[in-house]
This record gives sequence, C-alpha cells and structure tokens, in this order.
Amino acid sequence: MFDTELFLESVPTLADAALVTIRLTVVSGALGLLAGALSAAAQLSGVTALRILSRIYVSLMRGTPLFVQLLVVSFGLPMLGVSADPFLAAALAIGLNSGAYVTEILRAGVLAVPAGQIEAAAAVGLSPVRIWTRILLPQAFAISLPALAAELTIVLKSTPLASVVAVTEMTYSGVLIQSRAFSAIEVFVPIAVGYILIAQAILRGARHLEGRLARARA
Amino acid sequence: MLMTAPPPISATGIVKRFGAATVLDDVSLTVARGEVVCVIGPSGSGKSTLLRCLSWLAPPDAGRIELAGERLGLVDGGERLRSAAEIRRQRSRIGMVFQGLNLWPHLTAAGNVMEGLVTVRRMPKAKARELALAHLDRVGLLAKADAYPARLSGGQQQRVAIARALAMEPEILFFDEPTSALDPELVGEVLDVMGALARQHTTMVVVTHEMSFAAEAADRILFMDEGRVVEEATPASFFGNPREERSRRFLDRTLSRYRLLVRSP
Amino acid sequence: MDWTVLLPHIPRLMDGLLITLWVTVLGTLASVAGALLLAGAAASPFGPVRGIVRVYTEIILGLPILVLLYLIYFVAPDLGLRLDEISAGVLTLTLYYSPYMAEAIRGAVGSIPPGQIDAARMVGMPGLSIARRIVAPQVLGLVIPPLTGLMIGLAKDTAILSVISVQEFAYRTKQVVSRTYAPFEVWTFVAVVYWMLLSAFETLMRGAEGRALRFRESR
Ligand SMILES: Nc1ncnc2c1ncn2[C@@H]1O[C@H](COP(=O)(O)OP(=O)(O)OP(=O)(O)O)[C@@H](O)[C@H]1O
Ligand SMILES: [Mg+2]
Repeated sequence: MFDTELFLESVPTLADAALVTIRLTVVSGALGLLAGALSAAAQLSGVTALRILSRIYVSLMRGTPLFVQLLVVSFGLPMLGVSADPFLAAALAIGLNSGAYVTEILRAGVLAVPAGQIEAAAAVGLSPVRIWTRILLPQAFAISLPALAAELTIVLKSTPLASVVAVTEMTYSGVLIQSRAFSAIEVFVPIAVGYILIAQAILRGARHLEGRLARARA
Repeated sequence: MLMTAPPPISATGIVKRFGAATVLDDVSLTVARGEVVCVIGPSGSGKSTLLRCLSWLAPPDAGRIELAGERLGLVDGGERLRSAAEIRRQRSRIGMVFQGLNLWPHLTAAGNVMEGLVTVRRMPKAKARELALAHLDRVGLLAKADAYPARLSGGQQQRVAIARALAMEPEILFFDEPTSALDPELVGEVLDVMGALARQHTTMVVVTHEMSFAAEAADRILFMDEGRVVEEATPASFFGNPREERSRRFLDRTLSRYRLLVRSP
Repeated sequence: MDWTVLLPHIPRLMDGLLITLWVTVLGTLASVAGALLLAGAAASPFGPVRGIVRVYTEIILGLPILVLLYLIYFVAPDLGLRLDEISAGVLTLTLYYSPYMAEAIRGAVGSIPPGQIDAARMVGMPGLSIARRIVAPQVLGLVIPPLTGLMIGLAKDTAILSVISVQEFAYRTKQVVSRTYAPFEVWTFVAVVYWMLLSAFETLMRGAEGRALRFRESR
C-alpha cells in the first residue's frame, strides 16, 4: 500500500519545497511583525485618524478569508502597475493578514507595560518615537513572545494557500506529485510530518529565546 | 438528655500528609455546643488544612471525626468510605467561610444564599428567598440582597458568605481567616458580625490572625505549630501567661507588631 | 473596472453562500461537541487518555488545515475511509478546530477560582450541579470571545473546501471569474460579502458576551 519507491523519489522535491515553505514563513512573518507593530502603534497613538485606519485594517483582515485576500492582492497588484512575483504577492498577503493578529498581540503587550515607565521616560525627555522603540516595543515583544510564536505557527500553516497563486511550496509540490503518481499517502504523510516538525522548531525556539530574555533581565 | 447530647464536632488523632510532608500530626479537637474556639499559629502550621480535613474537603489520612455523634466520611468503624451523596449531606451540616472572596459572581447576594437551599435542600424558591433575606438581614445586608458581588465591597462579600453559610443552619461554622484578604478598614464590619454570632453562642471554629478578636470572642484558644497543637488554653491564660515557649515567642512577635501599629500616630 | 459584469451572476454566488453557511453551522456544532469531549478527556484521571489528547493537540497545532483536508480526502480512502466532499470538509473543520476550542474552554474553566468550587461543595452541591449552576454560567460568558474568533476562523476556512469541489462560495466565485474575466472585481465583491457577514456576527457575539457577563459590572 505504501509505495516506498515513490516516497524516496519525492523526498528531494519535497525537501526543496520545504525550503520554499520556510522562506515564505520567515518573510511573511517578518512582514506581519512590521505591519503589526506599525498598526499597534497607530492604534495606541492617540491620533484618531490613525486609530480608525488601524481598526479598519484589522477588521478587514480578520473578516475575510486569507484565500480571498491572496487573490485580491495577486490580481490587484498588476492593476496598480506593480509586476507581481507570486512569492512576493503571497508573502505580502500572508504578512498583511498576520499583521492584524500581531496588532492585537502587541497591543495587549504594550498595555501590560506599567504606565509609570512611560511617564518616567517622558520625564527624562525621551521623544515619543524613542519611547516606542526603546521602552515599549522591546518589552511588549518580550511579554508577547509566546503569543507571537503561536502566531508564527499559524503563518506557517497558512503558507499552503500560496498555491492558489502558484507558489510551489511544500503542499502544492505534494499535490503536483500526487496528480502525476495517483497516490497520496507517500506524499501527504511526510508533508504533514514536515509541518509538525517546523512548528515544533518554532515553538521550542521561542521557548528558548524566552528563557534567555528572562535570564538577561534577572 | 441534654447532658449526653454529642458535641457538634469531635476529632481525634487527625493525620494529614501531602507527599512526604506531614502537615497535620495527631491533632485532636472537640468543640462543645455554643463554644467558640479560635485557632492561631504561624503561617504554614496547618490551620487551613485542619479545617479542610474537618469538612472532608481534604480527607485525612488517619484519625476519627464525628459530626454530632455521626462518623464523618467513613462507616463500619472506619473500614468503608461513605457514598458521595452521604458525604455531601454531612458536609452541608458544616458552614464554612473561606479566606478569599468566594461568592459566586453570577448570582446576586440573595442568589448566593439561596443556592444551597434550592439545589441541595430542595426548598421552593419563594421560601428560600424569604430565608435568604432573613439571613442577609442578620449580617446587615438586607438592602444589598439584589446586588451582584462585583458591586459589593470585600467586607460586604464576606458578610454575604457568612449569611450563605448560616442559611444552611449548620451544626458548626468554620472560619478560615475571613478577614485576611480585606483592606484594613473593612475588617471591622466582618469581625463585628462574627462577634455577634459568638455572643449568640453559635458553635464556631475560627482560624484568625486577629489577636484582639480571639482574646475577646474565644472560649478557648488552640495554638498550632508545625502541624501539632502546641497549647490549648483559655484566652486569659494564653494571652496573659502562655505555658509553652513556642506560644510565647509567637505572641511576642505578633503582639509587638500589633502594639507598634497602634502606637504609631 | 466594470462592476456590472457581476450582476447576472449574483444568484449563483448566493447559492454558494448558502452552502458556506450550512457547512459553517455543521462544522461549528461538531467542533464544539468535539471540544467538549477533548476538554473532558484532558481532565481525565487516566494518564494515557490525557497523553493522547496532548499529542493530538500538538499535531493539530502544527498541521495546516489544507494538508489535513488532503489527508482526509485523498489519503483516508486508501486506508478504507471514503467520504463525500461535504462530509470530508466538515470532518476536516471539526478535527482542526476542536483542539483550539477545547483550549479556549479549558482556559475559561481554569480561570474560575477553586475557592468557588470549594464553597459549592461545602453547601453540599453534587458535582453535576456545580458544573451546571456554578461553572457553566460563568464559562459561557468567558468563552465567547475566544470562541467567536475561532468560529470566524472556521467560517473563513470553509473556503478551502473549494479545492475538493465543494460548491461553496469561493468555488462558485471561481466559476464566475472564469466566465466574466474580471477576477479583481469578483474577488473584491466576495471579500466585502464575507467581511460584512463576519463583522455582523462579531458584533452580535460581543453583545451576547456583554449580556452573559453583565454580573461583572461593578457600577
Ligand atoms: N494541597 C497541598 N499540597 C501540598 N502541600 C500543601 C497543600 N496544602 C497545604 N500544603 C502545605 O501544608 C502546610 C500547611 O498549610 P496550611 O495552608 O494548612 O497552613 P496555614 O496554617 O493555614 O497557613 P496560613 O496562615 O499561611 O494560611 C504548608 O506547608 C503547605 O505548604
Ligand atoms: Mg491558611
């Protein structure tokens, strides 16, 4: 039932595709962190227009399927005159989507920083931008690390959707092999294991980093 | 007949272990009807654990507890565990007020007091409410009957908890440091209610750090340390002239801090 | 951009939307049932049962829902489990969302102070009454926010069932795209429909949460 030969044949292809998955996860995750940090700052800035803009962004991203967002981005970019490399379009869509969730995570993290610290920083004359980059974000990041790691695993788990814009990441590569070989178990079981291993690596890495941060502060 | 009525609670040789640690080591305690016993002792000496054993929330590893003459938790001379329903019936004859604020937040003050009457005693709602209001009146909170706990101060919450315990008409009331979670200005109102209960000869075991309350309200003081009863005496003798060295040291530490507090302007 | 090309295709899209709603409702009900089962099993006194729940949860935490769908739709038939598209889709949603929902339930139950349970035991309430009258009313309010987020996620994830030809909203949309050659307009329209429906749902749930937790208001 399990075709070992097919399995062994597919391994190199799947391994290449796994690298695409990892790259897509990293690039999307970084974009999401950037978008989320900006949007969280906008939401907490006290500037009404920025706050509303950030709210709309979060609501739109949370209220529509990533699947649909991917298509809107990949068809929309060319209309804006941007030639859309599928990988970049996918990373952009997944990153913007994740940014909405990162917004909420970082917002909670920032609100967990005692207000007295902000007053103290303002009292010694730090500018608002410096207060954000020096005081608030580093601490919010440390507080939010477990939630951010969980979010990164969700980014990882969203990458298969990039196949709808023809990025050959791990899952799509499996679909291609399967449609040629008419056999599923030899490809999808190793693919599933691959994802689970990458996710575990993310979670363990985050726990390690968390421990280091805690020790650095102690 | 009156002379031979069994005491509300009588415990002998209670032992409780958590893993390798023996938290209660051969503790015995009998409380007569209408008697107020105050249990004092340093943190970690096993006071809460004693109350949890006496109410079977934490079944003891050895010893014998009798609730108004009836063996608690076990039957057949301690051979067999009672059924869960039997244990619940026995437990509902003990009222307990805990250290933390443990009202059920989704029920009003009256709802908290009625809950046991309705679900356990199967009392009709109207009758349960009538009784609940009477008990809330007793603790001075009739006006707050329909308020949710979130709208009550800590002191008021503990008074509702007392009404909740009283409503079940227990043989005996247990208090586990009921004021230790409260802001200092709210302690008095709770102690006042407890003092009134004591004067009405409600049978009570009170674990407390409030030495002046113990001195005034208690008929007997039980001093515990490291899981053992170190000294058992009347308040006058315990506070005036403690027999044991450990009692003396505990009192020196606690009372000197107390005096310091009252002397500071 | 020409939005009028959409008009003739609205009925077709709405048919798909109905299937999406149907699958969402089925998936939600099954997931909540599965979550209650998992949350119960996670509190089991038997170590091996707890172990199985933990391993299963870890697996789902790392497995993309699309891969799970492929496992169920393409691999499971080789192992003797053959399901039609809708059943495979609902099973996928259920297997995927149950552990997340179970975590939400466990979190809510765990946030109830144990002293409240002790107090209920002291008035002599049996475990079932404690669960029903003390724990459940509070948990109901506390799980609404995380469950709402997960239900929205589930509703959105029904779109991936289009890859196994469930004729839901996204599938119908693809058909319309291939007929109109106006992908941007069509997908934007669809995005707006999802967004309006899900935002309305979220608002509704926020109201429900407010009512369920009204007892917490201090003034
Ligand atoms: N469930 C438990 N598991 C393990 N150890 C416990 C448990 N409950 C209590 N202990 C231990 O038993 C000892 C007695 O605890 P207990 O709470 O009875 O003390 P206490 O006299 O009430 O102290 P306090 O004045 O601080 O309330 C402590 O050392 C405590 O750590
Ligand atoms: Mg204690």
